[in-house]
Amino acid sequence: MNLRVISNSTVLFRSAFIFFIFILLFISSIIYKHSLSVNDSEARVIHSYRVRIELEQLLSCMIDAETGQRGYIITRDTVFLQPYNGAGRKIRRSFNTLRSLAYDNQQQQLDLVVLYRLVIRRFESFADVLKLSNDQQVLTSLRKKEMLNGKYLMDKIRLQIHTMIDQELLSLQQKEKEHQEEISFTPLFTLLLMFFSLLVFIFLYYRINKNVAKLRILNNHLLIAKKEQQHNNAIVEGKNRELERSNIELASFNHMASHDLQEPLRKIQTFISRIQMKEIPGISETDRDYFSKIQSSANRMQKLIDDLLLFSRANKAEKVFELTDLNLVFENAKQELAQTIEEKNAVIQSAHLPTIPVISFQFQQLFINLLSNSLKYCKPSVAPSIQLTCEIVIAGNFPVIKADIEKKYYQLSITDNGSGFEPQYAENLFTLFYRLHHKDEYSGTGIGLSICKKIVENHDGFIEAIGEINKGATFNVYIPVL
Amino acid sequence: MQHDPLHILLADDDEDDRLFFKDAFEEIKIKTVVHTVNDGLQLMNYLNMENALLPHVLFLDLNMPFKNGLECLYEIRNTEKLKDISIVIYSTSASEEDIEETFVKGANVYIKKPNDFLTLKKMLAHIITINWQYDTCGLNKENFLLSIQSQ
Amino acid sequence: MKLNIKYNINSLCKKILREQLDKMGLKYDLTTFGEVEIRQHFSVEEYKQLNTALSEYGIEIVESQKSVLVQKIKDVIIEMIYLEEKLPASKISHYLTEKLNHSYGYLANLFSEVTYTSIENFIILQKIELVKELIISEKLTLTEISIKLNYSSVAHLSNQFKKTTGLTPSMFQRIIEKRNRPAQ
Repeated sequence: MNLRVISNSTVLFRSAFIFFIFILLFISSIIYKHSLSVNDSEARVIHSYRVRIELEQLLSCMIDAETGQRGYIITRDTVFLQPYNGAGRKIRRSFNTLRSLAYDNQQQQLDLVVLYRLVIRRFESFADVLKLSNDQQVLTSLRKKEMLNGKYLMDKIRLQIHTMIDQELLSLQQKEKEHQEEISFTPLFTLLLMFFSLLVFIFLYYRINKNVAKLRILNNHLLIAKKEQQHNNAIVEGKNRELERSNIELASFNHMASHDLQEPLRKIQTFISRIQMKEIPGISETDRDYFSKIQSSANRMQKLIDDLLLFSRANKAEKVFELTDLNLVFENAKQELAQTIEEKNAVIQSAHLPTIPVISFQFQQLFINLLSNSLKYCKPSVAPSIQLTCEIVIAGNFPVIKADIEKKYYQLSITDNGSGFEPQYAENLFTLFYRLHHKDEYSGTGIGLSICKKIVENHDGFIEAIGEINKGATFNVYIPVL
Repeated sequence: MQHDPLHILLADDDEDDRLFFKDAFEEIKIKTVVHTVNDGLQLMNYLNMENALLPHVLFLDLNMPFKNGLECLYEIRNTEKLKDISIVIYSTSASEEDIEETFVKGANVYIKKPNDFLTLKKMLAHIITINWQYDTCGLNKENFLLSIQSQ
Repeated sequence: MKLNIKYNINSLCKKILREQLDKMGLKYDLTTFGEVEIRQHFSVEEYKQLNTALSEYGIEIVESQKSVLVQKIKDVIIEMIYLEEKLPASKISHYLTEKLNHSYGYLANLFSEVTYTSIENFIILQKIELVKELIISEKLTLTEISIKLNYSSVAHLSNQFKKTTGLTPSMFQRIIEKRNRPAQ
């Protein structure tokens, strides 16, 4: 539950973070636009200023030219014509400048054209007046008329220029008004956004703090639990070591007992057999009989010890697991029992078996014991027929397997058509020395299947027996798939 | 058919087993001369003597003091002049793996000591006969492997 | 590098005999298998000398008539087993009688008297030896071997092998392989 709260916070935090980034980008774009706008405005003002200056210069130039011309007419001194002579060039320059300044202003361009024409006419008028004044014979009244015309043109020019200047000013004012309208909103908006973001930021900060506090508490709990577990582990380890020790002791006791018991037993049997072979005159029939019984018992004991030894050897310690082809192991098991197989005309079929890591000698013993079992308990007049199959199964479907439901196991099944057994004894079969038949009916000590169970357990597997009287038996061996 | 008696040597620390062994050979029809030693050290000392009369067949117990059977086996198989002796491991029961190991280490025969005197005699006669066949019929002694366990 | 060798015992022996007899400067005839006719006076010393020389090769000059016959029986059997592809399964007695001109009963008795073992056992022993050779050198499968040597089934072969040697063919093969593996 706590974890969900914290993870929700994480989601919240992430989305808030993304939100912040967006805000920042948005604000930056607004500020950028704002600055661009301000730059534009500045440029426009300068532009306007230049137009006005240029126009004024143009006018001033024209006036200088006029004044110069008048001066010359009055004094007849050519020095006064200087401004007039230089004017053309200056004016042309001015017009070029104005034309380039007016590139985006249709109205201004038209005005310039008008102005240009006026200026041209004025210069023509200048030229006429000069001509007239240079000519002595020209009537003063004609000159005056032309000069009046010139003045008239000059006024028009003056008017045009002032109109143009006014126009320019007007348009600048208009544009500035627009510009102001545009950017007046921005600062406030930006401020609002920053304020809002700050709020969100504070809120999140508060939440994160809370979560971190919670995490710390949980962490503390974990640390305590871990310490407890370590303590428990140590106890379990201690117990395990004890168990291991006692197991090793048991195994070596078992082994030594079986092994060392064999020697004296063998001697007993051998010496008795020597006595039996001799023709001792004093021995009666009964005595001979007794010797026979001693021998039988000793032999029986021998078998039991042999089996105990086999059982004790089927342990896991110091045994090597190696990748083994089970087909070869089964083949060898069949060869070991070749005599019995031949005698009973047994038919043995096997499916293809996998190659897996096993203790190969033990697995061979497993196969030998199971096969030998099936061969031994066959129906009296029926040739034994034995099948071995191998499939991969899921643990969950087989109650005998005590493991995770999903785990995979190899199921090795040996089925025979022998005399079977009663289902109620299915589990007992694997008990040490348990026998279902009287010892005179079938030979053996009943250890074969216990050894099988032990071997299967060494491989972390499970074994079960399924059968019915006279309907044969099936032994299932389950080995985990690695 | 033998010209000379076969030399048999037994290395076993158990007095009774040595007794059974010698008695058994006395009752076998084949002509043999049987010697015994009591442990691995005695055995190697005897075999390594300058003019030792080497046995045709050596019977070796595995569990002996001072030097056990496997050690002796290894030494013998790695000594030039002793390489060709037929070696029979004569022991109480061992696991399949242990038996295989003795063969791999160079033993020719493995017998589990029987618990019946008659069986012992038959076993020994059988081994001597087979061994002699290998010697006289040009069979490859390296393939001479024989395991006698069940009673 | 490992080489697989097959030997023809017959020609081997003949060559060695020739060598030794030539070395001693004797005039001789190699007649039937296992027989040499010395065509000159042959002293006891020379006899001993020849015997000693030959014994280094595991060749013995065989003495009594009985031994001779028994040796012949062995040789015939070995020849039969090694040289003939498909063995005549139950006609062994006839085969021997034919080749050696004595009744089977006589041969059998003589054989066990001298060798302490029966002809049947000897044959089985030789067959199993061949099986061993085939397993090791030619790497034939058991099925192929059982067919080649006229066994009624693989199980029969395994059975006889186990009875004779106490080991299953697989175990035998494994032991030889382990022996030949370089020291670990």
